[in-house]
Amino acid sequence: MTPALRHSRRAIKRAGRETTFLVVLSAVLMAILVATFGYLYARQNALQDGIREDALWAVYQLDREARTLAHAMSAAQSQWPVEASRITELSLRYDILYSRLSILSNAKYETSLASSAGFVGSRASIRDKVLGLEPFFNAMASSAPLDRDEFAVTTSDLLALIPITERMLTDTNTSVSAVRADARAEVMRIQQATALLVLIIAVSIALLILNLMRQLKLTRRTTGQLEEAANEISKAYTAAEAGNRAKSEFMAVMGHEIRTPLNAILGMTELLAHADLPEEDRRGVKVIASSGQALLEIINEILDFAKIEHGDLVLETIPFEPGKLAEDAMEVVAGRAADQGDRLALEVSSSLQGLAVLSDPTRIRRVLLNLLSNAVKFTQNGEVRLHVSLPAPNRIRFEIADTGIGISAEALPRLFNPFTQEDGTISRRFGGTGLGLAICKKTIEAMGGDIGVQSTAGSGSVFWFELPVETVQAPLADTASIDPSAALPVRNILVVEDNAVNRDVAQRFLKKLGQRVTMAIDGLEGVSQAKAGDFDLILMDMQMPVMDGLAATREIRLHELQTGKRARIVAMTANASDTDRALCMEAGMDAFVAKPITLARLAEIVRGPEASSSSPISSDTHSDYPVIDQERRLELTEAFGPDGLKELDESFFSDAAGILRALHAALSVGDAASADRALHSLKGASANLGFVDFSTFTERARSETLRADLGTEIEKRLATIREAGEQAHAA
Amino acid sequence: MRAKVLASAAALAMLFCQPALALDAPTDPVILTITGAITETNSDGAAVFDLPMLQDLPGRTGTMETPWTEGETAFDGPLLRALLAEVGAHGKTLRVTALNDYSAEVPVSDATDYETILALAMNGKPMSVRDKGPLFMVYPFDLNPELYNEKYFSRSVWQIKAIEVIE
Repeated sequence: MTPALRHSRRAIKRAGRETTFLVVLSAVLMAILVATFGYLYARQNALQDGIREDALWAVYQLDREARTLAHAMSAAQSQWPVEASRITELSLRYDILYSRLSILSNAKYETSLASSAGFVGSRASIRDKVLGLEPFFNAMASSAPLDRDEFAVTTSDLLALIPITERMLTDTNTSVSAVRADARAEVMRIQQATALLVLIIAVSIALLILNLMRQLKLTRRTTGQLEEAANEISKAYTAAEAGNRAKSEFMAVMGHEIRTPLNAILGMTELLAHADLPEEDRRGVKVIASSGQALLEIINEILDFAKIEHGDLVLETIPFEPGKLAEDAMEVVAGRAADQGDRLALEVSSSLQGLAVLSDPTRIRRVLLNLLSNAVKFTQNGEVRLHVSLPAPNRIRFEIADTGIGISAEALPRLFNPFTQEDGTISRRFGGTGLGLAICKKTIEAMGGDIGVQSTAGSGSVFWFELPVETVQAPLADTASIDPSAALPVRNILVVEDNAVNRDVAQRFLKKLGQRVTMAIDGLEGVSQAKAGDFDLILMDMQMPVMDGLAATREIRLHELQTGKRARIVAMTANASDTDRALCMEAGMDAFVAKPITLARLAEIVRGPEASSSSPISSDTHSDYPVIDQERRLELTEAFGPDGLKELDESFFSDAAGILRALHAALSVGDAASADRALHSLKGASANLGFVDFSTFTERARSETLRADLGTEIEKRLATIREAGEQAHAA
Repeated sequence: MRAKVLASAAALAMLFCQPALALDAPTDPVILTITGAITETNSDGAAVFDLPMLQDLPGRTGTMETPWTEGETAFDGPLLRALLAEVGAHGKTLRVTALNDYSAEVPVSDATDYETILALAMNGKPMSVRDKGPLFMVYPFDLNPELYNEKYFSRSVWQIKAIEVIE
């Protein structure tokens, strides 16, 4: 994270906190405002409920009526005797005053007024006085004769009432004014408080808006910075990718560059080994051969490691006998074991007898060799024991136990760690904790297996690995090594190779195999040779000046369209990547063979596509398996003679035709049991005759869901091996 | 507002279309004198009423609280609009005068829009002058609570003795 980005993040967080605070503040203020309005509303309601008759008005009316009556009485008194109409009027006046009194005492006024001592006192005194006059006026109303003195007393009483009502009027006015002023003051206060509240809310909201604007700006800025950072990361990633690609390319080029001279060294060494040499030189040649082989292994390991790192390791699935593979691996380290004074022991579990497994033998062999050479390296005058077993029907286990120096507990956890730039050197491979074990781990894991170690310092180690495999019937119980040149058909072969040493090696090998060889030094010459001659097989180098292998192949194929003939074209390449395979296929090649080329491999190629272990260009990994096991065929030829074998083949094919009909019938009605029986018969018979691929295929078909086109597929495959068989007989 | 007034006038006109019976002369002491814009009279340019005449008019009894009485009080008396119809009043305003010469102006619409009565009795008893009698203009606070405010309090004239219909 860049400092700017960190700063922005902090700023955004701070702004966020401030926003939260302001939001809370605004919410609280709003609540207070709502409460204030609630109070105002409640107060208004109270006012509504408390609508009262106007006290001041009532008191004024009382005062007025008292005066009116008093003055009427005075006027009447001055014109004694009083007229009847006046008496009626005076009586009415008294009644009105009386009604005022009762209104004043009954009616509801402001509580503050009703409870004020002055008001209550005045009211009581007025009431007493008015009620005191009642008998006089009652008598007057009932037209009783008037007594002048009594009239005068009443008049003076009424006149005395006036100052009291007047004072009450003043008191009430004062009181009402005070109440009004108080109410006004309170309203004012509430108004001011509300105004203040609104102001604070306005400020708070303004701050909130400002803060949000700031936050928005910050967020925008941060987004920009993030984009920038993402771009930088993306750039860095691209750069790293480019670096990695460059590294891979470098490794591939190095691999190729190293393998080309190594090809020559190994080829010449193999030729030398077949030459008539003194015993001392022969041993030297052997050392050169084994060292070269070891070097090749190292290069392959490095390339494999790179491939695994990139996740483009292509695993093969080939049937092989694990016992035999283990035996071969033991033989490789036998020399070094002898030097160290170690005993070697191989135990193959009886459950593996007669079984082959489907997996990648090349990679397993490499892992096995790695572990075995480590074991031998760290064991002196001890024992190295290899145990191969099937812990589960579909799982194979290899266990290498030694009595060597063992591994310390601290070193154990990082034993399988890959080398790093700082401490990784190829020489560490023999250190026991270097590239070798890392490759082993990666390889085994890529194959879906597990690898592990148990060890105690000083008392040896047990390395093991387990792989998921499929078991199949081993095609043969045992085969003896045979002369690669035996029973080889003689073919017209064109070798197109720019490297003089490689060309030399190839020529010598092919001569040794008794083949007719023509050489071409580049693609262009190869094409003209191919056009001129009639070749059965063309070995084509991929990288050549003037015209490369692919272009040359295309040219040749184009020409063949006119002649109607078709030569097998096998690519010779150091890089057998998927892309190369695809390119080869596209150009019209039939197969490819990885460099360096050995005599045995060359012999297989010469024998033909059916027998070749060079990989045909096909996505079907099962067809990697040789169509015909030549060793088995040779064995049968030895046992029955060529004619006997031919008879056997013919009876197989005629039997097979019948079985095939039965299979077709079973498949058409979905009879799984009959189909299985047919497949089983086919499998057994074909295995006996060395038709390995066919036998494996039928065996596999038995365990798979039956499909309708199985019969047709088997028919095709039968035709293929029949053709191959006939070619072999013809040869 | 104007529409309302017009409507009220129209309503009154409808009422007055009926041929009003000539007013009888009062037999008991007169307690209410109506003057002004009226068509029916039984005195010199005025319509005068005694208690039985008023009691004969259509009326209502309403029970309500007022600022001048203690608790729920029942008022009973003729509807103001019935009285106005009786005298063939055709004005917009009434000047209502009390015994003490206090007077208040009451719009005629108060008579037509509301069940306003001139109460003759309070809690079933006739009202003396001492009890705000003999006539008390009572607005229907029970039917129209919105009238319970100072504006209508000032129009609630008691001890009424005369009404003048002003055009």
